[in-house]
Amino acid sequence: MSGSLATLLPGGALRRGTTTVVAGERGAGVTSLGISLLAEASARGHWCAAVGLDDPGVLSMVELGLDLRRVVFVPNPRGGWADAAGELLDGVEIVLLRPPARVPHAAARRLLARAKERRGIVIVLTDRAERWPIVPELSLRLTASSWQGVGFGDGRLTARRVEVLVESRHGDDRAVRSSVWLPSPAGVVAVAPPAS
Amino acid sequence: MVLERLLLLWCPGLSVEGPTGEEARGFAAVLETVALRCPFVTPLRLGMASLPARAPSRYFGGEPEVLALLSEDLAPLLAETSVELHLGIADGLFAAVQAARRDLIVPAGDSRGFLAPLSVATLRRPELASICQRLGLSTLGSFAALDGGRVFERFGTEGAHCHRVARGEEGELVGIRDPSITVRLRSLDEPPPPVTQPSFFGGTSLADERAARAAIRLQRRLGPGEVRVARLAEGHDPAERAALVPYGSSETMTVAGLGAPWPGRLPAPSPSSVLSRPTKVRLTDPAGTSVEVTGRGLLTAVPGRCRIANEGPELEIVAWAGPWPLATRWWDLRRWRARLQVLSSSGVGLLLTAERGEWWLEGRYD
Repeated sequence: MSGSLATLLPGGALRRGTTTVVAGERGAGVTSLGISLLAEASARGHWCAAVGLDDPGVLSMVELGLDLRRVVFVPNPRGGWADAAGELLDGVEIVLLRPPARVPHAAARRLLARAKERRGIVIVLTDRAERWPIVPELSLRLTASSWQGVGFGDGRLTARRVEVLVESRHGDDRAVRSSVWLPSPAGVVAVAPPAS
Repeated sequence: MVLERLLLLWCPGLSVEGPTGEEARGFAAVLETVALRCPFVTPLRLGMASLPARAPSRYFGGEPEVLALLSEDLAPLLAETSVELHLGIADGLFAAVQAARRDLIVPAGDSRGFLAPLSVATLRRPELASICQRLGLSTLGSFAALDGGRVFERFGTEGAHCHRVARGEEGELVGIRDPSITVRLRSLDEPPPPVTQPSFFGGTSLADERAARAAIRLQRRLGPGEVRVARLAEGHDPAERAALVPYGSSETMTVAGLGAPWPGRLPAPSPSSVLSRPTKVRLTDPAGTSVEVTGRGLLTAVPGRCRIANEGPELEIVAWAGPWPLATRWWDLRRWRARLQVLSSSGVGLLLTAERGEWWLEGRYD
């Protein structure tokens, strides 16, 4: 990944055949960060799928740089989310998945096996990382989110900075704290210099 | 009061914007053709334009002659796309629109008589129409016969305006013009945006074919509506502007015109989730009094707390922006709405909409 989030990720990219969990409370920026990861892949010509995002803000996806010409959506897979995501991995390189609150271990395992076999990438969006029953190669936990630009009746939401705790199973096991603009005042997604 | 004599041109086939922008280009071509004959043509909205009738009819020897010439000029252009053309002439814009719908020339001075038998619904004010129906006033004539003062008392300034239009005292019904039409037509002069539709699953590369096969397979298993692709359109609401359509449906996709200046458009960043079914929200001040939006677009109290229906704890609001009244389009039938962005103490950004005294959650900035 050569894009603006490269410095957030160990090795500078999402690795093929692996899972990344993006976790945080609703409103913390999980969807935007997930889409931004997808955007970098789509910008390089890779096909993507979004499974289980039931009310996607398509316009926001465009603003985050996602190339919608190469995205397949399955908004409401219901109980069939794991099979849908697995089947899509036959045709796309990267699947963004928001699974239901309860994830059966077997379903997750089946999907990961498929991702390994197809050398695909799975990004899981969840409110709490523990909800995904298998330890992922990479987890990005959004711990805080602060918006700028909005006051008491004036301005508007313009920029947001989120704090991300990055943990890699292949790294030295130390969690790294980062800040990410989602988006910056200039409207781009970027890793921010550490907060002072 | 003498209303201006107007010629109205209406192409229903060009009045609804599709995703490719073809209608706007077609309408621009119609305007250019008309302007070669009569230079003072004014677009009102997509598919509809007016021009002063007096000068050209004097010049070309009569009103029917002008209509015949315009039909003839436009025939080859419209035949290409099999778009229908309707022309009418009457006094005042409202009567001219009704005349065009019926392909009529209403003689000068006859507009009130022409309008009298038409339905009150032609005023496009559903509330007014339903009240009139209940009062047994189904035609514009019976509505026009009411006393002006009483109409004002009962229906306010809006009703009084409609009343004057029905009486032929005022020519133009508010809401007939789409204020964005000139901007939209002007933006057509800019280089055409890339239309990306054919490459969608078009089998241009091995990767495209693989993706198409996977999508089709899944669609067969789950049903046609379950596998979707994105389509972007112009509009005020994020929900209106971006839609997911079933994969393989004839709706084309375009990323055109995102940069076009739209009145009422909220600048980026857009909400990352846009509710297809907005949820009711209770918005109050810190003391628990409901916050409302006045007709002048002001809040009646300071937002302090917000509770989303069927959802966890009440959010404490620490900042907000707006309200921004939404300039509705004429076919929105005067649905007045306003938007508000709120930010909770937990850092959650929400986009709310006020409509008919209620607040709705429209989108989340997740």
